[in-house]
Amino acid sequence: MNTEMVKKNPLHSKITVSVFHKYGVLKIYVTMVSIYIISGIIQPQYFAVDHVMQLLVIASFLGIAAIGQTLVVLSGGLDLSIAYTLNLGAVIMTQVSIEHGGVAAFAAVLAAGIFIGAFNGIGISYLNISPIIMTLAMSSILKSITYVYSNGNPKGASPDWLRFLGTGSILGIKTAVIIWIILSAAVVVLLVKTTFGRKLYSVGTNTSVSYLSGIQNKRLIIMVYILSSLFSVVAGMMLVGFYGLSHLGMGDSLLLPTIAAVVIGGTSILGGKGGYAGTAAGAIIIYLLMSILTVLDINDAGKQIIYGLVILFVLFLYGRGKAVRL
Amino acid sequence: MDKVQEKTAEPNAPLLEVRNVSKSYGGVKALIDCDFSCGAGEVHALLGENGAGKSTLVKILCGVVKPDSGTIRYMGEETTIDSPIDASRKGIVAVFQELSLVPELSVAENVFLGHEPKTRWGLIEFKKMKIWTDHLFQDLGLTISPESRVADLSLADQQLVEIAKALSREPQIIIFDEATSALGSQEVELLFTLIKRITKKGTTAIFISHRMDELDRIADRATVFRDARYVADFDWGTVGKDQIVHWIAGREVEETFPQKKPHSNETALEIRNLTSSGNFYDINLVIKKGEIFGIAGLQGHGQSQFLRSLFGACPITEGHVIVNNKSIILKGPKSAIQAGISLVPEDRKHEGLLLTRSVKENLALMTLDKRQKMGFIDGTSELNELHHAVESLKIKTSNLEQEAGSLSGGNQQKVVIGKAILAEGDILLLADPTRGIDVGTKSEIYQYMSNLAAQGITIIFYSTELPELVGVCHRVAVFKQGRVTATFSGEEITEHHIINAALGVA
Repeated sequence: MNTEMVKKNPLHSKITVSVFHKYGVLKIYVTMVSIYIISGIIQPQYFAVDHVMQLLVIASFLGIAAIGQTLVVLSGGLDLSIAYTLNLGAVIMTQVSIEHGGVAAFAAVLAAGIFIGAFNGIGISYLNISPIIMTLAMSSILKSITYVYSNGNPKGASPDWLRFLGTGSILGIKTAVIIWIILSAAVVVLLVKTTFGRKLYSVGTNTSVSYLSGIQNKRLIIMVYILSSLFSVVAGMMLVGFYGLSHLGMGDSLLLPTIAAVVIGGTSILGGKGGYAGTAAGAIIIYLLMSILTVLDINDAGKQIIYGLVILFVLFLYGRGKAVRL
Repeated sequence: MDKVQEKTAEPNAPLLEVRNVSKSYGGVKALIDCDFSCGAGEVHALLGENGAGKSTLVKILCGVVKPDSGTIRYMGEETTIDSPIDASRKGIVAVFQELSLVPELSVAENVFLGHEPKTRWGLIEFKKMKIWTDHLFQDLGLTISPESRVADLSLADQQLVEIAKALSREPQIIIFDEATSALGSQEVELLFTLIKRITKKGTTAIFISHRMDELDRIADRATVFRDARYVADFDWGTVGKDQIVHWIAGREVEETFPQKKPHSNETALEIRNLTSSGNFYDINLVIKKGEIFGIAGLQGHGQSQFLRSLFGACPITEGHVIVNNKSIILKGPKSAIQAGISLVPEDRKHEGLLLTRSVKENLALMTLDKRQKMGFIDGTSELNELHHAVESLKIKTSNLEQEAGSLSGGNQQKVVIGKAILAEGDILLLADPTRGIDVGTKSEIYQYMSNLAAQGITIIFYSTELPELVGVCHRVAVFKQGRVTATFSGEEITEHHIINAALGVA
């Protein structure tokens, strides 16, 4: 039977197809396009290129923050500190750039991101604190730090280059969208093509198997949380670029949507299964839905209810996972 | 075996009768038009290789999966089994090879999980539960404390608790799916006494095991499956072994072991005063290149921990491990792999395999860092190497992207072995690698071990099955209470010697 296997060797051609089938990514894109078409039928303006671009820009901030959440969830954890990490990143960006210029501010923001992520990661891996508790505590700490650091009233503005990244466009495509695409591509490559990606799935699936295969789980977990914080602060900087300034509650409304985008995107909340392609579609679906509900003049309560139902509907689409042969 | 005749004094209709049942998973046919029937109070063995359909039949009987077609008659009435709860209400319970205990709960809480004694306010009566468990255990002859936490028990004791849990429901039919594979010989004795006691009361036991010697002692009837089909059923003892093996395999299988080849005299591994307190003490061994070194003993006498320690996965409190004349420090599995040591862990499903990931990812897992450039995986060289492993181990998989959990047990184990082999170490640690695996695959694994040893790889082989230790090892060390109490080599390696040493009989 082994010769047979080599002869068939259907691996190369099958990979792309299987990725789509396996994680239901295709389903989520079909859902996204369907919602888009329905939106367009309700309000033809949705078919305009400008409108699409605007939607993508808005979705990009969530999309970038949700990259980190995707990695964390794949590893079997959850990052609840994303919103306040993002806020602190945004505030540092504008305040530091007043005296030291944009580049120094940029470096300071990344350093803060690495520091926050490492702190989360060490607490979770070495001190065995549950990810939810650790990152919730971190949220609270960051909220206060941001408040004290800015005296409750963040100063400064976005440097011009950042303003361009947030609002400009290249060849008719918004730079924010381009950055989102680049980061998305990078993270997909990270997950699929690198040893880091393989190890991440392994740790998220079963930590014992992973450990007994020589993977250093703890280091990996720390890396994952560092990446998550880095993507959060990058999303924060992009928002600074978009609005031109920072304020204390910039990312407050993004925390739960990052989790929703991950789940809608087909990544298992238990870890080890899924990927970023779905999350990106999830982020778009969330804003598409919100925007069309606004057009339909549905009040906030109604929006939240429908939003919840859509999440449940999508999970239903994925099925409850196939049975593993025991 | 003479008891067979008197016992199969059959009532008119069988207790359970399954006709023309089929089931497929995706494209894979797991059962095709199968028949099966058993009477009250009999011990019925299900025979067949891994993947022959036994487990699927069991799952149908327990309501875990639903058949695609076919009928089930139970207690004279046609019925369906809709869910595990439905099955247990009908009096059908199963004890699986995989434990279904909640590790953090006490033994008593586990035994009565889902049918706890309650006050009229709906609160659990813990006192009553403990007393009931005490009674049950006394009845069964178990000495496990009902109050201890399941996580603190040995694997064998956990298996016994699992069995007690099933029996606490006073089932009509109890199914043992490889339930003895985690048990040492003492516990197996206990289990058999138990089974005899309950079958006398009219309970039917359906028993899946790959150990023929066990079945000789306990089975009344048997049904054989092969390639998802029913092959034959017969009264145990009326049919010769050769015929049974022939039915199971569909071909002649020699149950013989490959010939032991001489090994080099070079020292590959030296272990000095190795101690892991609480687990094992003061182990001194010198193992040669290309040697297959057996580790024996009753379950839970430090053997597993010893292997884990050599792999850096269990703390060493004292002593040295010397590989190729260099003392090595084992900080973790990674450092062990770097020193050329790899481990096939005992618990394939929880420690060996990522069940939901592909065969490819599993095989490559231990050696990711070897095939990378700047952190990127070299896909082509990976595929080549993995194909090679799949071929040399004869792993039956439709392609490398197949989910590892969807393979049969024997093939899953081959993947775990393949993963360790790919690390290309000089020393391979095998912890009970043939547990719950069919005869054919076992022979393949022995042959494979022999080939590896011939290539100069040193194998430390811990097993709970004596015949295979006798059959493949150059030397065997027996563990008792964490110490090596005897070492046998050559002709001295006999089951008799090993058992005596393990029991501490002079």
